[in-house]
Amino acid sequence: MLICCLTYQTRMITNTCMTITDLKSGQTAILKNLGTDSSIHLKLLSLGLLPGDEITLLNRVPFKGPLSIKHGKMNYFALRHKEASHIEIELKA
Amino acid sequence: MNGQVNTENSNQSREATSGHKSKVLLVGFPNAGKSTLFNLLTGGNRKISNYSGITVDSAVGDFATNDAIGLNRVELVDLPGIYNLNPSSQDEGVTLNSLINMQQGPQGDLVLAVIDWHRLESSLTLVVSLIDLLGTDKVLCVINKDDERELSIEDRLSLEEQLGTKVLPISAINTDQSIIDHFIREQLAIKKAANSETHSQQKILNISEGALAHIPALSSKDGYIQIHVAKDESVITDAINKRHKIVRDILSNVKGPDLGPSELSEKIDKIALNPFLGMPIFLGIFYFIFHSIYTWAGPIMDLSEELVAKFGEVIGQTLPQGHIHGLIVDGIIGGVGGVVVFLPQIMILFFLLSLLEQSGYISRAAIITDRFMSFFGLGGKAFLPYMSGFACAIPGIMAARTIPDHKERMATILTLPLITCSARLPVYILLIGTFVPDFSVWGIFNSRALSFFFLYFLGSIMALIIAKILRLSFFKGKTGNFIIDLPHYQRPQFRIALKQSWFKGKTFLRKAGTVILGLSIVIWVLSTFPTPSQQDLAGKTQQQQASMSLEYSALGRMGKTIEPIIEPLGMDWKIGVGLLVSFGARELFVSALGTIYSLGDVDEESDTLRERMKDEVNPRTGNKVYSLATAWSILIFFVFSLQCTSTLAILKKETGGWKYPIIGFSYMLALAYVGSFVAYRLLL
Repeated sequence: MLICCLTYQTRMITNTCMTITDLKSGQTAILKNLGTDSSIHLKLLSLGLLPGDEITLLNRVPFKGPLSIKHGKMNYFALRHKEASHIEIELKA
Repeated sequence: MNGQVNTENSNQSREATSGHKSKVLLVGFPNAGKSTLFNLLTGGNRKISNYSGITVDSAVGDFATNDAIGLNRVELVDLPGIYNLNPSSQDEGVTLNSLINMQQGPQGDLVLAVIDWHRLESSLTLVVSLIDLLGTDKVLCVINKDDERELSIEDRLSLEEQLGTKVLPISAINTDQSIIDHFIREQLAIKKAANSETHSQQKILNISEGALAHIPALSSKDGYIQIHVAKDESVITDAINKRHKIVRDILSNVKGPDLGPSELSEKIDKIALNPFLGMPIFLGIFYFIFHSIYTWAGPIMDLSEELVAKFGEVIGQTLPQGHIHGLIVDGIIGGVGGVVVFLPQIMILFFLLSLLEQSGYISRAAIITDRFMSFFGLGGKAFLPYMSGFACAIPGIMAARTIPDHKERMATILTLPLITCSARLPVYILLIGTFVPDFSVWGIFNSRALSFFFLYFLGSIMALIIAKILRLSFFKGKTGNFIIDLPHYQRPQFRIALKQSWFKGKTFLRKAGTVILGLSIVIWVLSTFPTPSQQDLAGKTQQQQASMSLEYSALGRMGKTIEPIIEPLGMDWKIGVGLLVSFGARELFVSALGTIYSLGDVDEESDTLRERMKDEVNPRTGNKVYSLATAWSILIFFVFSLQCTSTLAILKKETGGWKYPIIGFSYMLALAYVGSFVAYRLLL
């Protein structure tokens, strides 16, 4: 979990400390940091994600279930809510 | 193991006799189409689907063209998919181990890297790391899934130039096998010539400490590749990062695939992964599968039942009365015939499962159920082995190798036999079809299909409950990561589904013709001998004589011995005999009842097993033996009990000892007994 003391509103306004879990369905963002957990980091890298890439949150499974994400033009993957909260993003300007 | 094409042993013996032999290792992303390619080139029958982690072991197969005159022998090795050279589970460890143990030198092994056209950039990154590790003379490339020939010639040439190796765009679906065959043979000759000139330099491969645990038999025979355990994992991530950027440069001018299929996938996912519709759709699809097994197979089954009965009648009339008559009509036709009639259901089940697997929906199902699974202490990775378990526990238990965490894997393996496999199907259909009344529920569901669905559900939910208990006690721990690739949806191919269904049907018939036939004969002998003396039989009706003989036989005595144990479950000794033999294989329950009731049925009024079961009367009370309560008691017993010697063997193999098979067998037997008892008392 990304440690951040700011509230959701503040993070939205300042566009800092945002993670994938803050996105709404259909919203696009830029990857900033793949997180510190090395196994998650490695898996995401191997799936082809690099900081600076664009991702779009597509679907959310209810009750904090997995999130499905589009990366680039045509690659799709899903990850758990907990893992998504490790990944820092920045909203597109 | 159905997918095994050729065992290592038989290959070793052939190795000694052939001079020019080349070994080619298939390496690439999971779900890149390696097994499809393997089947295409070797004529093998590896299981294929549209989700990752279906191949968990290696298989060796000969090129189909190896027998042609003037061609050298080429062997293809199908390996589990990997995302990088740092394994995160046991199946990936198998692949890395094969890579570092590749034979070097001019006659050495080569890698056929399978690039996924839909995941061009990321799968190419793996290829670049393979080339870095092994050199350009060791790696051939194909780009799979280019079904529409989208890669232009200029782009291909530029790729080849930058990678330093030839690249063949293919489609495992519509490219002619001979083109791929020719390409590999031609490249092999070129690479081998190049390899004899260059001297291999020693390479170092960095892997993480965690990855080391997934390669149990790590060894590098000739020391060409040195494994170095990196203390700081950033060494590994940095290397991937660097290669990734190189690949982006390589691909900067390459025109990628058409976005049509991916846009369609996105649209389908909007519905399939919809917060409100996702779960109902998931349940609906599975209900539909069970419903169709019922409604479609019904008429076919009636027909095959009648055919078997007619066959028995005709044979019975031509044979003289006596033991030979008894053995053939009661033992073989009653026993084997009773099982064979379930062929249509087995084939329909596998046909539908294959369509579902090919479509790409299974990965979505894993997402939909992840919340549920994680509540029971299992990760989304456990869903896929469980899913395989609906066909058979054995591939399911093997598929659990993809689960990285040891404790989670053990909890999955130990509960997997509770998932309703296809061997339970004959017993379910026989009992539900005979004793559950047929009516419509809420206008859309059918009572029998619902009962069927309930049994599948009961097995699955119990597997999860036991998994939760295990995860809270013996196998305590956090669940691993769950990051899953979502393949594009694709139109399932009827040809592949038919092939899969045909293959499973053949396996089923082969089992019926060998194991079940053999054991049916044994059951007949044990239920016929020893025979009571003529004095004892004198003055009794034919019916009484038959039941006396049966009780006097070896099997009858065994049944009588265990009768007190199963009486509380509402079962008589004949059902008890069926239960006893079913511990060898579940289908034997049906064949044992077939033989026993066929022996008792002297007036030959009822032809089919179902009619005989309905007519069966308890001689002491004069009541019918089977009621709805008895039927459900037997059904519940079969849901929970581990009656499969092959499953026990694979449990031993995967856990490395008898401890877990014994634990699994015992807890499931206890569940079965208690479950049966409760069901019987509730319905009585």
